[in-house]
Amino acid sequence: MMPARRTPLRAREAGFSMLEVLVSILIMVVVEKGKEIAILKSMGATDAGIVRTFLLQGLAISIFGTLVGIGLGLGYCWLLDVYGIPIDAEVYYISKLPVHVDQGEIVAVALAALGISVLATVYPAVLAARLRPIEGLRFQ
Amino acid sequence: MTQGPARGGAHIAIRDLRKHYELYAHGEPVARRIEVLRGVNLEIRSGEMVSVVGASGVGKSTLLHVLGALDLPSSGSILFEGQELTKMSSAQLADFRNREIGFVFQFHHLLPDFTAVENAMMPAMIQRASRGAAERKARAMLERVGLASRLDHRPGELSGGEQQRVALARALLLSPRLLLADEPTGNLDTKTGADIHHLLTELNAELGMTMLVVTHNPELAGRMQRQLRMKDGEIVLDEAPRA
Repeated sequence: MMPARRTPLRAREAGFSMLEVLVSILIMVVVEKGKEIAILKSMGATDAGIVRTFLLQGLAISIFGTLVGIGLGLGYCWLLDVYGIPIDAEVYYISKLPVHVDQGEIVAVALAALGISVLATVYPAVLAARLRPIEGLRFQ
Repeated sequence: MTQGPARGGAHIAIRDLRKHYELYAHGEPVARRIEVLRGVNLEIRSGEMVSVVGASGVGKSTLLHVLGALDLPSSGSILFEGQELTKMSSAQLADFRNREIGFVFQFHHLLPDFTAVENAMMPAMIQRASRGAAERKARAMLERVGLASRLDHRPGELSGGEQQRVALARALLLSPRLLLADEPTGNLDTKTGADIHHLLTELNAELGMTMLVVTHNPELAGRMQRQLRMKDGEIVLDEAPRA
């Protein structure tokens, strides 16, 4: 059986892409929600409270995304295992691409995804917290 | 929730308050300084109802924003019941805004995804009050401002006057000692605006809070005990309006 191979370079690329996407999404949320942030601050919401809100939002997005990703990944592995991708048995000595699901790797990827996501929320959360109340309310 | 019945109004003393902005215009190597407040001196007694009038751009709204800690002054002193606001940290100012200030803007600035009750109870939720207590207080305040039948409607389902009543209920929820209203009826028709004017006067008499109202409306300005006229970032006239 062909051994399972790790691709650390691809994992790093995927991680950075995910980081970029999440940071971009959350910065857009900060820009879009600038007025609401300002309204909350005008009523007394603290900078720390705003940071907490965005960190929780980022965490919620990342938990949902991680669970969906793991579900889709496992589902795909199951389909591959059942239906398989045929390969030339005369060259490779096996008739279909083997699938190996490593529980440890699943946990590691999930934790990495959550960790990257939380890191990604820090910058947008700090941006949101720095908004002076009047800046968000000024333009209509 | 720390606030119960009316707490009366705050005494405010402002000394040499200044606010400027530095703007870089396209192609200019140095910033231009825009002076908005040029040394405002003012004392407002507890429970007083004061209107601020003047042409657009004279600094009326900026005065309100700085007094309400929504913006920082460039220099000067603001004493609120003896506390110097300019020396407070960001967290202290947030707590101050929550406990002491009620703000009503020209555009209601309600959160569109929440109902009237949820918008009104927001200051209490920020204060980490229990949801039940906050909701009871919000419902009572909304009924006081005449919105008993629209409690579970979202801002998009309310008229302009109703939206402004929700904003007023939200501003008054925690019995602030200072209500700052920036053109509260500027976006409303005459009749609705008159209703809001009347409500403000009633609430001032009932709750005793200090009120500072920026307005272009002479009828509203005439209802106030005191009128300040601003010009070019300074107060040029301070008098009781003629009946």
